[in-house]
Amino acid sequence: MEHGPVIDCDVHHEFVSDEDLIPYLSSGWQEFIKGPGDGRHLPVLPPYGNYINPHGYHRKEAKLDDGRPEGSSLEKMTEQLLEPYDVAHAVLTYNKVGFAGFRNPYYAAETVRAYNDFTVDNWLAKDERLKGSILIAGHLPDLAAKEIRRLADHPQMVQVVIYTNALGPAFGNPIYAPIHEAAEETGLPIAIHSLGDGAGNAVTSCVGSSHGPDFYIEYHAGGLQGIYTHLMSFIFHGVFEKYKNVRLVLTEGGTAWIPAALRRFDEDYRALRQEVPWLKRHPSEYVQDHVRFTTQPLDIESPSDPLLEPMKAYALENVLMYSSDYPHWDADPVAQVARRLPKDWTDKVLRDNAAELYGLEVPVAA
Amino acid sequence: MSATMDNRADAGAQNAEWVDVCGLDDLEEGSCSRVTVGTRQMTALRLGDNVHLLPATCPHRGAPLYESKLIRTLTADAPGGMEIEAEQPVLMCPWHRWQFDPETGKTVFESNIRLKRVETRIDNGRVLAKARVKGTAAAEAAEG
Repeated sequence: MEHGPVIDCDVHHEFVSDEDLIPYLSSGWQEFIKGPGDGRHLPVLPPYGNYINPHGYHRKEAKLDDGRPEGSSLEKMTEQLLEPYDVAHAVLTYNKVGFAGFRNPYYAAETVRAYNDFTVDNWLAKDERLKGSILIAGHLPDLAAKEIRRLADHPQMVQVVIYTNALGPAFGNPIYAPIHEAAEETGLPIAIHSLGDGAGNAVTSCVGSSHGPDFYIEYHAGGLQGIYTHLMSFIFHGVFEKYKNVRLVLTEGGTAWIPAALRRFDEDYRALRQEVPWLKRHPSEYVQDHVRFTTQPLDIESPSDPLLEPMKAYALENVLMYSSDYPHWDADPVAQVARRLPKDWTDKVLRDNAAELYGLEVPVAA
Repeated sequence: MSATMDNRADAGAQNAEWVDVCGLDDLEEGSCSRVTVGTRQMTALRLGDNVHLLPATCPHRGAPLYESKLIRTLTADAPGGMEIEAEQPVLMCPWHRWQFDPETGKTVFESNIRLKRVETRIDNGRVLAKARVKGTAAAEAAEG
């Protein structure tokens, strides 16, 4: 294959129904969710979307003939992604993730724990190419940190992932210090996946309207807003000064906006550094050392795209990591990404940056 | 005061001569003033018996640097901390708050921008600048 083996940093795996997760709840929580006692049970996941894609959320070809949801079949994923894309490692990032929609913080923590254990048994155990993300709910940072430590030693767990904001403050705020400390201690990067902000009752993590978007198109086009907010929060709260080992992965927020953001952050640092005197370097320097961005949606059309020039100026070839976003409708096939990037970027972006971050080995291309 | 106190600078000294700027007492201690050196507007900062002569405009976006305030930079060992980094004050530009060390002209953050300083000395209560000023013998000699 022209581009060689790749590491895909955003692959959404799915369970078939609540019945898949219920056995992974504790016996107490299983009793609790029996609800009315007539065979129905309380929802194991909160309602996901306030924003409805009029054309559906998934690639049509990812649909399963037997009616199971897209992303729930390892066989289909192997046939459509792992084999044709020559994926050496696929970082699984879950699919139904609106845990902030649960107001009960203990139930949120329990359901993510169940989803993690379901993932270990039903996905990671079945294919060594699959790598896991320890899903956390942010309601109670101490419980999230406990969940990180519980699973950090699993050999296929390569990162922590959080989607939805249950509390309000962006994720660099020291209210989340237990999560930062657990990441520092375990060495696992923290991934923040965009677009969790529209899930359930989650707080919208953007500076603008507290009401949030009205349309799916606004929600989708604005996916970088939450990412932008969390990135600022990590930088200006000094997370990377306090925790030298913490790495941040910003997933599905796009790429071409990054240079403009870094220019703004650096300019504001020069003007306003008295307010955050714990920062010792320009924000763009922290980003080079501590932050990685997944590529989908790539934003770049071709190696001659003028938007690449500012990206080159900020050496983004060192911080981008390929992601397909399979099986979602807007997924980026790896061959397309390889064609759209400068040739001298592809080794780094398609595998080397992720291999270094996650400590993964990639077989040499045949 | 000493008639030989120099404030060595790093710019414009070739083919320059000592030019009278103002009386030392004309400058307010610890603040910036606009002065004229020959026909050129400059920023003067008096710190005790030392006078720093700096450009009138900020090299960042052209702000009037003589309206700068003096501040002491802050530092912190950890987020939430707030301590004075050094007693030596720095200039803070009135527009975008860039801060410059008057001793070196350098920004307090890492950059390749710096203020070009003009050498000064105090002679009998007068501030003298070592500068090439149009119409002076040194300037005419330099222009051939």
